[in-house]
Amino acid sequence: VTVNPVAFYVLASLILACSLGAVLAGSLRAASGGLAAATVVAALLEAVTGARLLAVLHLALVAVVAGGVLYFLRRQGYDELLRLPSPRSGWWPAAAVGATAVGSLGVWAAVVHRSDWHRGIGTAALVSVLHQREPIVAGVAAILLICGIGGSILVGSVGADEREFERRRLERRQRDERTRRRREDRLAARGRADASGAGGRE
Amino acid sequence: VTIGPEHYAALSALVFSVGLFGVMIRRNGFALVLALAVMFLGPVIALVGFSELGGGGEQPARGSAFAMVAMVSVGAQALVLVAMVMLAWRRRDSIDVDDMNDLSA
Repeated sequence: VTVNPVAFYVLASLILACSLGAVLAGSLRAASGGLAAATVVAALLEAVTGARLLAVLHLALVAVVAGGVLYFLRRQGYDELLRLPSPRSGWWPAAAVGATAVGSLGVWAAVVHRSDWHRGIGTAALVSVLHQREPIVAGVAAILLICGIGGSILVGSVGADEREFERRRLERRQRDERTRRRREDRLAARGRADASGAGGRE
Repeated sequence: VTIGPEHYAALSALVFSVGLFGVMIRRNGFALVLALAVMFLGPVIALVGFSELGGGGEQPARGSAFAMVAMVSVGAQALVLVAMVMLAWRRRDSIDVDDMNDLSA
């Protein structure tokens, strides 16, 4: 398999740019968009590399995960979550130095040992690997995905009893707020009445 | 220039370090999950590159199957982590990871 160098460098730059956007964006919506874009470009890189079925699977997986997250945000009432601020830690320069060191180590290892990598003459198609060599892998992947989807639904869903509890808690909070305001108004009115009474006596 | 497995390894290291930077600087739980997903995209890129360009020979490579499992596990863990962040927000009204410093229910 030969990969077009221009396509590789363009896609690699796009993946890095989108990843940086996902990490640095202040808004969670923009960060989610950056991650989705990085994953789609990574799938394109896989297709350019020759792993077309993997690329299709990757895109399908992005669609499943994005659909699941959107389901939670829209249907389960978590809309507010995306509007929350995403502040940066105060010691981000140290984090930048640490991450740069780790990245440099990886790139250095890849470049210095570039002649040690085994260069193959091609690979078996994913379908034939799953069908003839490793049939159990497809089952493991399917079970992982089902467990992920099922687990997230179990953990993230809001039950009817929780909705009722939340409604009562909100009502109680509003009632307490109204009572506090009435008490404050009463005290203020009494203070004004006392002040005007004292002024009349003088 | 011939693109080989080392190019994928280098790109993988860079993407991993970008994700690591995000994990270290973000305190918002949702942003942390996004940074973790970026971090795990790196190894998937490396595995695909290795399986397509570094494998082969006499025996058909199994790398692509390995890459597929890694990809699916990243997706599944992202879903579960997002659900856990939502649960934390429901219980604590906050998804700041600095607030989640105890193990009490």
